[in-house]
Amino acid sequence: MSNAPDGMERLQSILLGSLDKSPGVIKEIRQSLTPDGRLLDAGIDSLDLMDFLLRVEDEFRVEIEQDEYPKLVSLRAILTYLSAREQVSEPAGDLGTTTQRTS
Amino acid sequence: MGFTDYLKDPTLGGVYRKIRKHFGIRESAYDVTSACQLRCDGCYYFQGDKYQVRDNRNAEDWHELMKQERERGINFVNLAGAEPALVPRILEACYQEIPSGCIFTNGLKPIAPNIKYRIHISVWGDETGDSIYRKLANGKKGPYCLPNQLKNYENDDRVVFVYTFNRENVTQVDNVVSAIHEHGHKVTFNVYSSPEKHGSLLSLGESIQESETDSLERIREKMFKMIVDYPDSVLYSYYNAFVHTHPLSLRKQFGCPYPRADGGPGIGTTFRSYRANLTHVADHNCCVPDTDCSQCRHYAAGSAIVSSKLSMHAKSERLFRAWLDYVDTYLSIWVMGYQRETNFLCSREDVEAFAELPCNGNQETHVGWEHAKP
Repeated sequence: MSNAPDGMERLQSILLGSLDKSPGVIKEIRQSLTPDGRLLDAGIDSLDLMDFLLRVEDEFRVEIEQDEYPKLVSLRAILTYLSAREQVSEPAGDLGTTTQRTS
Repeated sequence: MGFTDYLKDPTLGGVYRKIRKHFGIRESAYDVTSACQLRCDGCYYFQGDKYQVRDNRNAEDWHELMKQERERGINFVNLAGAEPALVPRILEACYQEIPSGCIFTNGLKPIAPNIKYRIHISVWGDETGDSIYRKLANGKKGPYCLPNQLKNYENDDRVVFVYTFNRENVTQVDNVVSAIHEHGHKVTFNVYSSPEKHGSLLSLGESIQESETDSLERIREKMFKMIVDYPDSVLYSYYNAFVHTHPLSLRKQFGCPYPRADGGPGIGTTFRSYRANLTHVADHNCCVPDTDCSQCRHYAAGSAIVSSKLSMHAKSERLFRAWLDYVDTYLSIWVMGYQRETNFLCSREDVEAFAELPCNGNQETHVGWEHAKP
């Protein structure tokens, strides 16, 4: 069994690592993040979201089409997009779980 | 090379981290009065029907609105109108509730020094042009405002002069910027953008003498010269000049995030443009509500439009440098106390290389010339 983080954890890690906010604010964001919740509702502004998606592009070595940006509103939506591009496996669990999808 | 690689460059990473501290600006616009001493050609306020409202001059009501706006997440107010300096109690009310913002004024009446908003003072030309475009409320020829503006705001670090280029006043900018420089003030540039329904003698549209493109090229060349000649006084980058004098409007180049246009996840959901009676109309929610979007090269619009397009500018390091210059410049124009970088990251040569790129030519949506391979 791999110790590598699953896709959702990886996305969360990139997101929280990219934020230029105080530790308290980042903690609040971490607590309000859910796989399906809108990132903008979790205290992330639109430019932070753009910054995050650009880092995801680099991390997953994928170029996200401009038209897709408006659809990538949640971690799940991003993961689904990446999965469709065969860049990452999509877990079924909540954030922070270590469940790996098996195939 | 990708976005994270650009950030590893100490200079680019440093500027990015500096500007990023301001990503959380949430702005809206408020016409605080429909009164003005002047009726200038080219004034955006007296276009459309937004001035045909009954002003709310009750400072307590403005306090209440600002409280509501603050609760809505707004942390930066743009106070315009006709002439905001004529309603000092309302400015005070706004400042007490939301202490970051900008006031747009003709500069003829000083604004109280305790209101530490940015103050943008409009300039339409030198003594030959300003007094033609400026008109009194009775339609008679108006004053040449610059001497009074400079006198009223001497040694006032809140002030940025805004020189609006039109097809007639390009050469007049030399005298204006020279005077502003001598007084130790800052100046930035605007490009006249036609209103939706009524033409103006200031419009850049086709004339007998010159095409719109030629006018824009002349303006761009003059902007470049001013940047070189007055590096400490002119708040404008080469990339600012490029995008604001591009043959395509800002919306056609980039799309537009304001609610009135395409909308978007940030400003597209939060920006409102309140009238002097404290109402706002969804269809008008943008920084210059009666401007023809297909002609919009407005400096305030660009500040939101270009700045919001980080992803478009992450396609190459040169574009990212240009974007950093633009946002760094924009913040120095709008945010009190913000110090911009001493040197540009994107040179004139870089910008002129952009101009050589092929344009995709889709006039209806943002064409994204920057999508072309650098």
